[in-house]
Amino acid sequence: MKIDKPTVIAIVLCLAVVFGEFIAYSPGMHTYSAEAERNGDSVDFQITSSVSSVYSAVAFDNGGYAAPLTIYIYKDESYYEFMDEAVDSAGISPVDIGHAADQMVLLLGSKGIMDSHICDSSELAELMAEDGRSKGLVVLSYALPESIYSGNAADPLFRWLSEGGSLYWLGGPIGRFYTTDEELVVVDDNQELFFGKKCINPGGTDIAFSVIDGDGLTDGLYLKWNRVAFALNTDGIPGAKAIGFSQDGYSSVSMVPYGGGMVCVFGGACNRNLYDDATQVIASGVSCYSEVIEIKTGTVNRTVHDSIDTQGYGGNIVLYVSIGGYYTIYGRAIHEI
Amino acid sequence: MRFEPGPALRALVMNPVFIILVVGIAARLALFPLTPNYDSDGWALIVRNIRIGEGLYAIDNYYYTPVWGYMLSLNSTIQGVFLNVDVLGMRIPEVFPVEASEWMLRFTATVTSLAFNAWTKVMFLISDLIVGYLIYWIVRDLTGDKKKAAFGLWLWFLCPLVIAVTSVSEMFDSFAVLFALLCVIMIRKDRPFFAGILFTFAFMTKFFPIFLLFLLVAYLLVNHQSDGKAKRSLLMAALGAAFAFIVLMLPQIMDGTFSEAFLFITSRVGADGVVSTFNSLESVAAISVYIVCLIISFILGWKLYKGGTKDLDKRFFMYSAIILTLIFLFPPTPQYLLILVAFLSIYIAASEKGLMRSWIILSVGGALFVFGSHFTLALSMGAFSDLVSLDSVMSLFDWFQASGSSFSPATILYLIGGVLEYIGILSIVLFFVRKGHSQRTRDAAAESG
Repeated sequence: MKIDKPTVIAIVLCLAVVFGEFIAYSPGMHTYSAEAERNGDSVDFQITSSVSSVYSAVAFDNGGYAAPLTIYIYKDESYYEFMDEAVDSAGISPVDIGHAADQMVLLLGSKGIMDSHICDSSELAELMAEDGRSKGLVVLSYALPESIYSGNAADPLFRWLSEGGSLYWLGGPIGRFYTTDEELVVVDDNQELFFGKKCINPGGTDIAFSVIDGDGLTDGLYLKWNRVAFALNTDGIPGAKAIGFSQDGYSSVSMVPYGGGMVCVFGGACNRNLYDDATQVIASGVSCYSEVIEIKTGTVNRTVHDSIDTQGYGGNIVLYVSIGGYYTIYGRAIHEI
Repeated sequence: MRFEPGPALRALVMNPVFIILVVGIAARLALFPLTPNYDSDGWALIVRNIRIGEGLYAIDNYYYTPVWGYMLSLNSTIQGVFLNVDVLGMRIPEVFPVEASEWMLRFTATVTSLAFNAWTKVMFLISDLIVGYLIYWIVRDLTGDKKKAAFGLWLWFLCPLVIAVTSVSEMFDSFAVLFALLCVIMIRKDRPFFAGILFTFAFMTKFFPIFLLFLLVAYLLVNHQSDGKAKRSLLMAALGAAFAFIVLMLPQIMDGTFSEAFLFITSRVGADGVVSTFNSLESVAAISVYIVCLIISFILGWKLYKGGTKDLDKRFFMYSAIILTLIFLFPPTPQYLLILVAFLSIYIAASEKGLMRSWIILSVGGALFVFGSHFTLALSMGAFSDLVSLDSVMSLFDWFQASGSSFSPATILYLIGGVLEYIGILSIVLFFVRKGHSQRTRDAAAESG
């Protein structure tokens, strides 16, 4: 067979595509790592990346708070049964709940949370019976099951939070509904139950135009989703911390203390940008108790070494390293350095 | 001392092919800084997903068949490892107002970097160059005339629509054209196995080449009418196509994301990643047009086969131009038209200059449509360079979009571009209807005479 120019072009192109396929699907093709160790009054860290990319290293002291290392994502089995009612009543945007949970697991995994589980209502009830410390619950649904939340301060959910659990709420008004086997029940005083006051965005404002510095956390965590539907106004809530973006007093990410635990509310409808931000916040271990020590940013091209002065801070220092900037490709929180 | 160019250099500079290439490359490079961020943000997210190690489909945002994703994968590795492109894009708070726009298209304040955009567009520039070369090669092969071949190259490489799609839209349709043309060449060279492979690569990039299937099969059968190798060649082509399909889809077959690779056929996907099934009137209309076109392409394939070897190449490219025009009777976005422009360029350069007017209307209309539909084009420049300030870009945005008013400059440009583009398509249809009518009249006269 005579090899002419078009044939050579065709062979080269096909091989290029197959090589791209090999890169896209070969495990370990791209490698990243982050390590840190205490060195006297400072924390030395090393970041490596096989591709040139921006990074940030956020060091903070979490005080007595135990950041979640195990994440449970609630996949509401009655989601579609009452969805239309919730859409009409609260204006939520429906999602494919199973797919959304899967996306959260994958994104959390890319940011160092390898221990995440999708759970149904019975597993949720079992979780509430356990110690909440170092555990996080992610709710993508508009409602929780009656077994853990029925609009009463004595519900298992509040006990779990008080004991150190972390609740992350996305895509709807927190605590507005619970489900029984037969119906969707509205909780009228949900805001007071969770926050002691009315503070949830009642609607009308969604896009936020102002950046909240949040001690540098908005930039340091590369937060991007500037939506405040269902978000909180944290003004006057003791110990609350707002990061991300704000409009009319409502913040895209609000973290509020509850006993020894935390309630974190993300604004806006569920979508990929929100999943990116939520997984970044969850994986970082940042909380309303966090005191930012220092944030270092730069470009990693193979390896970067640096250190952060931690003199004067306690023993619960966390360093969260993320690589990739607004397109985060790697994250790792190094706890109790 | 004065520089005196030698005869070889003078001949090169005066060569029309050289001039076409220089002008075409310069025009593309000049437009590189302009980018509609909605799509480039999508490409950056795919790069992110690949770098995470989750392939193309596990994490949302890739809704095409995999070939383009594999190219992006290779490109991103080159960018990340060899070119040190460290920032794919940024969220720019000053640009948030574009997301509040109520105009007919969605915009994003996530702005991709000039470096990422440029190196992604370099791929398309290379693809355009190779397509131009293949058009040159085919026209020269058909006519033996280098001037006609250069004319074909000109029609492709200096086409305003092709330049706009490559250098501004940052869309990958040129690659589907590239594989389709290579497939045609392999069929003409009687390399059926390789042609089958390239056909799969073509329609797995963008699905429009599928409408050439019956014509390609007919060409292959006619080529082997006399030597008795028709069935064997057809089998080889089918084997090549199947082999390529398995190779390309192997990762998705193994990781269970096979169905996601065909979401663009079975579903419409919103920007938020929510998938809704085909139920809109628009979708039904598109499907209807495509089904009718598949039937017409079968009829054209049958006509090509029955016509035998007489004017086989001429008829093949004419029928190709016809079917690729008909599929766009359902109004296309400009980048889809690249495959039509390529086959039209060959047909015009080799046989039929009467279509020049249509080519001009189509390509100018399509290019205007590109600029009209994306007036956030300068955001990357504003965010990542000192060439223009973000304030200026946002002022331009406000003026151009005029707060979503019905008769903003954007809307007018968009409408003019869209109407011209569609007139271009209709005029090609009209041309072939007239041509068919006069051919029938001539045939009838010949029979009666």
